[in-house]
Amino acid sequence: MDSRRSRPQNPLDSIRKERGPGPCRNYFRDRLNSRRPDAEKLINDPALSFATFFTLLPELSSGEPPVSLSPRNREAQSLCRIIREDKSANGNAQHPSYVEGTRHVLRWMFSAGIEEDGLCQDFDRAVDISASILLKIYHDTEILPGVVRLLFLRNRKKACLHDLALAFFQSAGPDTLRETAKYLLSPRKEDVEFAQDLLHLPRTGNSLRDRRARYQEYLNWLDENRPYLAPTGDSFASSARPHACQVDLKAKYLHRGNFPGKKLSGNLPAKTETDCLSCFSRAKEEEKELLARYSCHLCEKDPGRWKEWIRLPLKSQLDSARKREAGQ
Amino acid sequence: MITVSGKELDAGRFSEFASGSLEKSILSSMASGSGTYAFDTAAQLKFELSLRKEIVACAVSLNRSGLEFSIFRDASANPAYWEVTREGGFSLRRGADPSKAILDIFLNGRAYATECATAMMIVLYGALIREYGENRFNHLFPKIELMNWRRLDPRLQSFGMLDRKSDYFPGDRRYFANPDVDPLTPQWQGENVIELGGGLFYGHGVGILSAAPILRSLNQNRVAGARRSAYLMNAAGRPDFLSLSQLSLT
Repeated sequence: MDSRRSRPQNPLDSIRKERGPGPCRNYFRDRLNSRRPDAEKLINDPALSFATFFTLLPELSSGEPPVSLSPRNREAQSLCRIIREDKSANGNAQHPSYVEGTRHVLRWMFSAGIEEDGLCQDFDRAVDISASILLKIYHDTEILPGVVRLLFLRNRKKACLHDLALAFFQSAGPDTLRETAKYLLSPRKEDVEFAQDLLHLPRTGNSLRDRRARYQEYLNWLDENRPYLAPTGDSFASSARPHACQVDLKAKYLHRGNFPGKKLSGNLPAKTETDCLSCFSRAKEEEKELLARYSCHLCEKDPGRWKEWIRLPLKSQLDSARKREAGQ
Repeated sequence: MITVSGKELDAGRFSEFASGSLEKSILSSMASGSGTYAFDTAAQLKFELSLRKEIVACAVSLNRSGLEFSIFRDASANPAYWEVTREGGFSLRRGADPSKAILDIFLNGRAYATECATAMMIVLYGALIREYGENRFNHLFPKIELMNWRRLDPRLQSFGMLDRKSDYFPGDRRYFANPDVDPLTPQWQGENVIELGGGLFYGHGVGILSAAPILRSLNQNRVAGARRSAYLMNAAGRPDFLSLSQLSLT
C-alpha cells in the first residue's frame, strides 16, 4: 500500500487549494501567534507542497523571532530569495552552493511546477530557474520530460515560457526530442504547431493523416541521426525557428557517433579519418548531407564495402550516393 | 557584386546617394562583398538601401527613447496603445492606431519595458513607418504583436531567422550568443543587436557599443567555471527586402 496516499493532507495545503493563498497565510499567521510549535511542525512537514511553502514565504521573513525551518525549507527560502534578486553583472551577488542537498530541494521546487503552474509570476519563475539549474549545473536530464510537459501546458495557456524554453534548448537530446514529437499527434492545433517550432519542422497540414505521417517521418529521422545529435543552444531569443539539436555531419560521415551498447562497425585508422575528412570538407553543404546519409547506410549494411567507398575520391563517393538516392 | 536586371552594377556610377552617406557605404560594401546581390530593378535596390538606413536611424532613436530593459515577466507598456500579454509581449489594443502606437514607444520610451528581441521588432516597425508613411503602414499592419520571434507577422518572418550570410551590412539583425549563461540570469543568454556600421551595434539594455564591451557584459553573466566565451554569431536576420519593396507599390 502506498503510505503517501493514506496520509492526511497538510492543512496548509488543503486551505491554500480550497480557499486560496490569503486564507492560507492567515491560518498560518494565527497558528504562529497562538501555537507556534504546531505552526512550525506544519511548515516543516516533508509532505508540504512547494507551492504552499512559496505562498507562505512573506510570513516566514516578516516575524520575530524567525520561524524555525527544516534544512530543506531553509535552502528553499534562500534559493527563492536568490532567484528573485537581479544578479546581472553583480560580482557580489549571492549564488547558491550547488551541493547535492540543493539538488533535492530544486527537484522539490520543480516538481510543484506542473501541478501548480500559474500560481503567480514569481512562483513560475522560481520553477523555471530551478529547471535551468538542475539541467545546467547538475545535468539532471531526468526532469526533461517534465520540462516538455510544462512547456506545452504554458503554450496552451499562452503563458510565459521563455526561460523554460531556454532550458529545453540547452539540454534537449534525442529522448527529449522523441517526447516532444508525441505532441505532433495531438488533436490540439496549438500543440502541433508548438511541437513543430521546437523540432524545427515546417508548419504543414494538420489532418490526422498528416500528423501521423509527420510523426513517423520525424521518428525515422531521429533513429537515423540519434548517435550524431548534439544540442545547439539556440533559443527563441535568437531565432523564430531555433534548432534544438544539430546533426554532426562529420561524425555521421565517419560513422563515429554515440552508440551505447553497440559495437562500432566502422572505425578507421586516425590517418585515414583525417584524409577522409579532408575529402569531405571539399563537398558543398547539400553534398555533405548526402554523403553522410549514404555513409551511415552503407556502413550499417556492408562495413567492408564502406571501408573501400570512404577511401574513394570525392566525385566517386558522390556518384555512388546519388545512384542510391535515385533508386538505382 | 551587385546586379540589376542581370547586369553588373558599377556602384561608383550610382550617383543617387551622396558620398559619405550610409546608403553609399552599404552600396560599396555590397559591390565589393563576396556575395552576389541581385535585383530586378534599381528601385528594389534603392528600397533596400533606404530601409537599411531607416533601421539604423530607428535603432539610434530607440536607444535615446528611454525604453527600459525588463525580463518578459516584468514587461510594461503604455496602456493607451498596448496590452501586455501573459507571455510578456505587447498586443496592439483594439481601435488603436498602429503607427501611433509604435511611434509612442520612441517618444515615451520610459513608459515601456521589455527584452532585447522585442526592441529589434520595434526598430523594424519604426523603420517601416518611415519607409511607407503612416497611412500605408496602418493599412498593411493593422494587427501588431511585439514580442521575441515567436509572434512575428509572416511577412517579417525572415527578420526573426538567423542565417549565415556572405557579408554583413548596417541594418542587419545580429546576435551575440552566450552559451554558458548563468541559469540565474537567463536574460543574459545572448544579445540581439542591430548592426549600425563602423563596428558599432545597438542592443537594448546595453546601448550603442562595439563588440568587445557587449561580449564583456555577457561574459560577466556566465555560470561559475564557464569555459566558453560569448561570441558574435556568423549569421544575420534580414527582412525580405524584395517582398517589402513590393508592398510599398500595391
